[in-house]
Amino acid sequence: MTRFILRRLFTALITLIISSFLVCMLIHLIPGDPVAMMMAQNSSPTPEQLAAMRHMLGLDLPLWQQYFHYVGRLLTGDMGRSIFGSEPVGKLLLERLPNTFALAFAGLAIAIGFGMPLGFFAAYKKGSWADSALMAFAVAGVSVPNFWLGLMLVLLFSMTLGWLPVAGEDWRSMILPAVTLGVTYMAIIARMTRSAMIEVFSEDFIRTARAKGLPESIVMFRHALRPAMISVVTIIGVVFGYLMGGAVVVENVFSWNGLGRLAIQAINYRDYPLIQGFILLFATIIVVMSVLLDIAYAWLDPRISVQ
Amino acid sequence: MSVVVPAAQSLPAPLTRMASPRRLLLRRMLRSRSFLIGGGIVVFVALVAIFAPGLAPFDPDRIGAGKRLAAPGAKFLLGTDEFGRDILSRVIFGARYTLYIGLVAVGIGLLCGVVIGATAAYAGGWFGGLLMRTIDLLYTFPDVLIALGLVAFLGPNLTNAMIAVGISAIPYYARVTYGVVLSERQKPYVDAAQVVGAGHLRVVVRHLMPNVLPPMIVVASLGFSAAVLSAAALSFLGLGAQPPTPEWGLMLSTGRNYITRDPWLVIGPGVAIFITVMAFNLFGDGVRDLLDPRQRQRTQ
Amino acid sequence: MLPSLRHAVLASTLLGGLAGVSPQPALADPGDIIFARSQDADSLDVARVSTTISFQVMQQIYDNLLNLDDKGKVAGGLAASYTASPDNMTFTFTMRPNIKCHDGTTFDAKAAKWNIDRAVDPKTGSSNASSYGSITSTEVNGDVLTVKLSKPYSPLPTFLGSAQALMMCPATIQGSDVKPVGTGPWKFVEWVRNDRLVLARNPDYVNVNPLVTNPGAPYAARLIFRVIPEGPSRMAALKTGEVTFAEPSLQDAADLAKDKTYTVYTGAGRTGQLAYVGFTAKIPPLNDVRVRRAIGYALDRDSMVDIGFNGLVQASPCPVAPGLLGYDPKKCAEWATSYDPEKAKALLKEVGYGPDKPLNITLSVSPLQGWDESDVVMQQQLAAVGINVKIEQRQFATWVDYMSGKNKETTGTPAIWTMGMSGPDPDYLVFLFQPPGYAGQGIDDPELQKMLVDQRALSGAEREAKVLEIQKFLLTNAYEVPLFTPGWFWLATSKSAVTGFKQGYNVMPLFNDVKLP
Repeated sequence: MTRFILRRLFTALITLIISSFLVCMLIHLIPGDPVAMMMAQNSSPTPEQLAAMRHMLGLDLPLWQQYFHYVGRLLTGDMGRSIFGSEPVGKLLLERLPNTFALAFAGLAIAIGFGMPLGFFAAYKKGSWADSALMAFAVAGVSVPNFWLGLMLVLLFSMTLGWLPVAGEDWRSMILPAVTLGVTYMAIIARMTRSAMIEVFSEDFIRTARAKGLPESIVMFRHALRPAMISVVTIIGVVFGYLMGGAVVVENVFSWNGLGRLAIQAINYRDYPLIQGFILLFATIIVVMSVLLDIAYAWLDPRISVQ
Repeated sequence: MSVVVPAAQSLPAPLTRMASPRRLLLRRMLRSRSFLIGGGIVVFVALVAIFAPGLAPFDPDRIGAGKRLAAPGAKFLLGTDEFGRDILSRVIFGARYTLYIGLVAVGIGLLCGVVIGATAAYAGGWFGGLLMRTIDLLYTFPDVLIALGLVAFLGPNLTNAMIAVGISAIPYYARVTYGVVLSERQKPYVDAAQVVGAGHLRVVVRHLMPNVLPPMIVVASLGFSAAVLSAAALSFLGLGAQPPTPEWGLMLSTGRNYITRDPWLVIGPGVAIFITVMAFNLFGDGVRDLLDPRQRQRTQ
Repeated sequence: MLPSLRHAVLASTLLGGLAGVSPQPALADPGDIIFARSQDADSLDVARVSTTISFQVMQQIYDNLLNLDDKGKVAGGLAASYTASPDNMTFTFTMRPNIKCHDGTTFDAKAAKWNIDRAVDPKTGSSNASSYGSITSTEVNGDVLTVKLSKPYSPLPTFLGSAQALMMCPATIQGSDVKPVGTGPWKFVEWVRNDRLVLARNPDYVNVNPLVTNPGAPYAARLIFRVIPEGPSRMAALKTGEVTFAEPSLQDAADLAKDKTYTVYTGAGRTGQLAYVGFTAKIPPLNDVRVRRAIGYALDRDSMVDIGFNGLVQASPCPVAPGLLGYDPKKCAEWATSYDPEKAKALLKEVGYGPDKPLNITLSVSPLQGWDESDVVMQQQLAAVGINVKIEQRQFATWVDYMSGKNKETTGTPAIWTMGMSGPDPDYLVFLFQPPGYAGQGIDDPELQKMLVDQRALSGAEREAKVLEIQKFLLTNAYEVPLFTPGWFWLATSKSAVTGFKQGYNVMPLFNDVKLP
């Protein structure tokens, strides 16, 4: 187990090193002089100011050294300063992080809370009209653009019915963004739960349990649900990263003050240090999350760590 | 960007092992229904795009074709926008952009992905291993992050958005290709061809590719829907198509400012994206099952 | 490493944690004024920015050395009085005693000197530097600040009454950090960028601004600027009472004006704003006056006003905004281009452009409501005379940087651009056109430069005549095509039960007198 964890941490470290390298090199995609682009606040930056900024960012170093300069700064906790307002990038990002997490987990809760029962039900009633309807809903859910769904929900629940606020700070204003975010992943989870359950229903031990004459509810909840859980839970690991991605878009539909909204603002202002910080933070979250999930999974199912 | 076909497809393989032949047949019929509906809509959207100039009642960019913000009616079936432009005409011309964006993005992703995946599978060894490790690594990250990062630094416009969306899907195509080629490679006919003295390139092009193609059609179709969604999302965020392009995502982005009073500005383009994406998803699902139900495992 | 197969549980733990993720603390308090705007300030360092949206906040925190009354006459501010020498080259300011900064220190003549020295120091890189005139020395003698210039500059006192010349307490600038400390009616509390900027009432405030009635501290406890980019969300927040004031969308402004329960504020006739089209006049063929005039003839101001702004702004042919010295729409109209696409085509043909050789240009703009729509209208009007236009949007600060470079270029894709300028005095023409000029738009023409310098030495009717002469030069040479007035951040709306809101010069909101129901 310890060996597995160490190995997993090692691969995560490699992943982070490569991601930080890519993030560092992104700056060279900018057409033109990145430093001149960054000095936007000054209508006419002096050559000295340009040189100072270039030096601070390490862009006056040879390409291969730039990365070490960048990582060196990262290791001291310095993600640079934003161009606009010249505030520490780390601080700006951390301020928004709780909001994004809140939205992502609320979305995940909705996706799982509704997706799993629906998938379970569809598998149980396999072939019925309800199954078909649920699967049609699943295809629709995967196909609907979440930003449009968000607008439609606003139109219905805020504008027409007046039930929920459009934007705001309290928990009620989180309902619509969370539902918007959740629906897509609800569809995916429902589809996967269904496949997994169909699989489980055909397993020997279920047939045995049924043959023994156990009540159907016990067969379902004691025997079928648990093995299915583990398979479906693996899916959550996959979905999580994409859910965080979806949150970026949804935040911008609902003026939800998280990382995604910050990122779009940073892009609009061409605030490159902030964009770099955002990408790196997102990458780190996803990597850390996958390590945690892997370790937890290995702990639940010891066969994994032997592989 | 929002919905992620790659994730949807990355179901653990054993989960889809099917049960009885009767159910299987049933499933296939059900699936062929999705093939028909999906394919039908895809063809319809393509025809609309091709014949847009003939179909659209107005020039999509014509300001003042009608009163500003006119509600849907006989003359303007979907109403007019803030410039008095006919929304229906803009939605019709938008089909062109959507298909174009999808083709370019899938083209970039598929081309690079197939080359990388096939190289890794065919070469094998430490080189192939390293290549796939890198691809796996990139696959960990949501495509939104990759596309967003690229557009942020390349600069926001439609061309860059298409490139970014294409690149962000490379890991997906590479992984699928790798899996498919690897399993084909182990089949006797590849060895046979090599024994006969066929060169590597010849083996790949003449023997491997024809077998690899069918699953790639499925992958491309599903990838197409993901690309359309991603590009529309980028445009919605102001990072893709720029005004006055009648691109659906952009139309939603400007239309949202009028949602309180003139909601039709966001209904037409939204429905158009939704239907198109769903059509490609259905079509991809349908093709997969028609080709061979067992292909399911490989394209996942 | 494959994420798809191995990931597992933990979700339950995460979901368990969800209950602990508390939403942000509620902002609204009955004693708070909350103003919802579409954009956020760029910076709170007066010398580093020149955007209306930033000044609107800074005006709450900082005070001016002098103020302007409702007629535009100069009144006292941080300085109780001032004198100008007959040649307008020496100014003295006598400071008001015992003015306290928010941190308890005293704002004296030294502090005022620090502000001016910093603004005109080339190292600061302030784009407002030219508006202080050619200052050679600043001296403090007790409570008197003496400013000496090398050239006459009659509009200096007026400029010192504008937001561009707000006075910060020196503690504000700490290296590269800005920690706003002022003497104004509101104290800085916190700023969460692109979200909210919180100010608290300054209980010790003594008002001397003639536009304000309340002699002391503001009535409300806090003043909060919130950023809500989406128009519908701002309106919803206003209607539910979540915010007190909101920047309305143009549609909403027209609707609410008819609704008695709401009041719409439109700038009190003091906006001093003018929106115009400029050219990269060094890049061919825009270096040819005929091409610039052709573009002017292709543009129909009225349809921009109608389609872009719902009729909420006015078309204007003058480089100087209404209400300012030298504004004379009749004369301007004689010199300026007016909508005439045939003339535009004829001029283009003269230069060699036509259906088989279209002119390709970029329209470089910054996103803003009404302007976005006007940009598309312009694009189509130019297309109608055979000019292909590609619109390029950049956020304003980035736009300024980009144009500063682009305007200096002599080759490349020619660009036209739109910008708005506001000020209490026509001297802003110097800020714009004296090289390098704001956003690099300075015009290297000795005749123009001489006139710009000369008008500073004059006053009254003579100065007015000179300002008109300058406008004639700008219009006949088509260095700019004036479009409309006002046009940015000039609209505000609140429930009618909220009283006392005022708008000062250049759409600076004044909350000192605001009483909440």
